[in-house]
Amino acid sequence: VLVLVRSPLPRLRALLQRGWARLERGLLPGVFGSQSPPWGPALAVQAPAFLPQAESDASKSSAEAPGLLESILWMAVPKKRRTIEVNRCRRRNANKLIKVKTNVDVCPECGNLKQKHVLCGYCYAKVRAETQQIRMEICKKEGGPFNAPTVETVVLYDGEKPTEKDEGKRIIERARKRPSWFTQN
Amino acid sequence: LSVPPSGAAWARGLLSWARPDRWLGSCSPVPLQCIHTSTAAQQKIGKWEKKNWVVYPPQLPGEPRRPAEIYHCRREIKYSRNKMWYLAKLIKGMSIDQALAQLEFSDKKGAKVIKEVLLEAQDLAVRKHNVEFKSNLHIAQSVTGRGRYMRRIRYHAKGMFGIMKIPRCHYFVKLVEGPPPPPEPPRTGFDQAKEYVQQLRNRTIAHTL
Repeated sequence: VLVLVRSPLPRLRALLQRGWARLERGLLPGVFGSQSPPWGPALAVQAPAFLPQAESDASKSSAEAPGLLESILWMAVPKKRRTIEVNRCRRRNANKLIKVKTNVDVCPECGNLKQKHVLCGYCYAKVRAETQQIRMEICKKEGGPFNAPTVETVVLYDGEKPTEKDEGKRIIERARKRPSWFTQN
Repeated sequence: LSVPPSGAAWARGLLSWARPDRWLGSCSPVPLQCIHTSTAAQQKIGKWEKKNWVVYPPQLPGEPRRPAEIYHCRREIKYSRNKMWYLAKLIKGMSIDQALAQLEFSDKKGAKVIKEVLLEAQDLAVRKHNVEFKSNLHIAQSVTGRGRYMRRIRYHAKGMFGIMKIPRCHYFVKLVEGPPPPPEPPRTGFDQAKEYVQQLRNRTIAHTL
């Protein structure tokens, strides 16, 4: 919630007054032009509909000093305060309420909840932790940046030997039991 | 966690308005430090927390079993109560499992807080309120309240300033044992017609037989 408070600045007010005067002169040249000749007997001409309105406007503007209050007439402004009943009707409308999700399932691996089109959060976190450990092993082996070899990598856990398929590949050792979800070959 | 005061503390609490140290005056032989009245050193306990201390008389043999009710709340959550209300409205009337599922995948900040509150309440239910199955709970009431707001100055251009409010809210939930009540069927045209006909039939002519 914001409440704007104006601190008195005479320079700002003068600027607004000058700006408003310019606006008036620019927007209503026709009014000043029509006001100057006096109203006397003339031909019965179809007068434009806006003339009396413009005449009242001109008399009003020439009589009162221009200020910020005048400019409010030109802006789109709420006419009345919106009551709390009206506000509630708008805020509690059906399209504004949160919709019930129907795409929540149970992960068959771990039993946690998951969305149907998204990976299970728990399983993903598990895999991510293990991947981080493997990456740390790779870091230790390489020693620095730009040392990645141009061959494939194979991850071997406790008690595993490289097979004949893993001939030219780089071997990363992990000192733990192979996790059930990380299948070999 | 709020605990109801035990027997002696109840009496002290009731008579706290009577201050014997004030009666004695300056010429008292008894040193004033010995007399101690009950002091609420911590924040005063809210009405929602006190609802958990209600003790019903034992049920008669023929009465249907009264379902267990668990009242839980969290105070001074750093969130807007209007925004929290949407989440409270979402889970009203759901079973606790469904509510937890909906809140887990909601993107709102309040969803995480409400999920914690619900899990705490479920835990309390099982440990203290004699609830047998933790899934056999549904949300009977879920309400938000206004916390204490902080006011700060927000600086604008040209020396103007605004006063901004930093909102906080409370969240209250009541869990009741048992499956959730079935949702009301929507009013059909037939129902409306029946009601109209009944209104017509209820008409009478006043001051006659």
